[in-house]
Amino acid sequence: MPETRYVEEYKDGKLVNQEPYEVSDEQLDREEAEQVIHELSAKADNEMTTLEMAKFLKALAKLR
Amino acid sequence: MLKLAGELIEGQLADHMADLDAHTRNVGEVLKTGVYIDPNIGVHAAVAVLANKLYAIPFWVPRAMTIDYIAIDVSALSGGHSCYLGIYNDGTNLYPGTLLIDAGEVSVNTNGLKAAACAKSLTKGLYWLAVASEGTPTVSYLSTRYPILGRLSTNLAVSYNGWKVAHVYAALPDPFTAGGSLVSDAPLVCPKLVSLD
Repeated sequence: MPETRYVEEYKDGKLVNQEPYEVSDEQLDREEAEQVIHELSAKADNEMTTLEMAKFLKALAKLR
Repeated sequence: MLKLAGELIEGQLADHMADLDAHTRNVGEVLKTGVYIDPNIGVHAAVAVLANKLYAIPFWVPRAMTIDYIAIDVSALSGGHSCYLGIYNDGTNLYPGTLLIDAGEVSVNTNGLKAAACAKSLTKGLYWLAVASEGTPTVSYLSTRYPILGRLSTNLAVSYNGWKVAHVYAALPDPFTAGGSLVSDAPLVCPKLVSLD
């Protein structure tokens, strides 16, 4: 389901305006895949489980 | 150039020289106003920035312009944290120098585009867009950029896209803290172009 986010404008550190916009499912999937890659890349090879390797490969495939 | 009665050739020449597109059309000078801009062509990705770090990415201004905001895009929030955004002048050998604008803090407590007001006219030249992070939000970055900062000297496989230096979270320092290291995953910081001047 698309997510509503906001363009937030700040002046001198104070929030002065918010404009909603929608983030598509496709974009959310990409962000999630990037997050998975980032987290699992930080793991040592011998700490990776088979399940994590599968997750990692699927995330890579999504970003192809 | 047709010289009209009463006109001075010096005046005509000055007008002609001020017209950037008179003889050549530099593609870098063709920029849309009213939108966030970045001079690079790169592959968009996301990166988690580190806490208590100050990053700077190069921003070359090909012609005089006015900006009104600078922004980052957060795709994974960092609870209760903020970032300072700003612009530095160029220093020595492509290292950020004196502080030009501290645009203040933006919250990274939610996902979305975070923009800090910073109305400023810039003249042609190289500047550095800066972000100081309190937490570890995941933000947009370009995994490849025009590599003015060179490449990893041992195997040339990595092109650098910015500088990173330790900075206990606070307003942007002036000048940029010395002793930074080159990085290939500096966050994307974009100014919003108001006008070409």
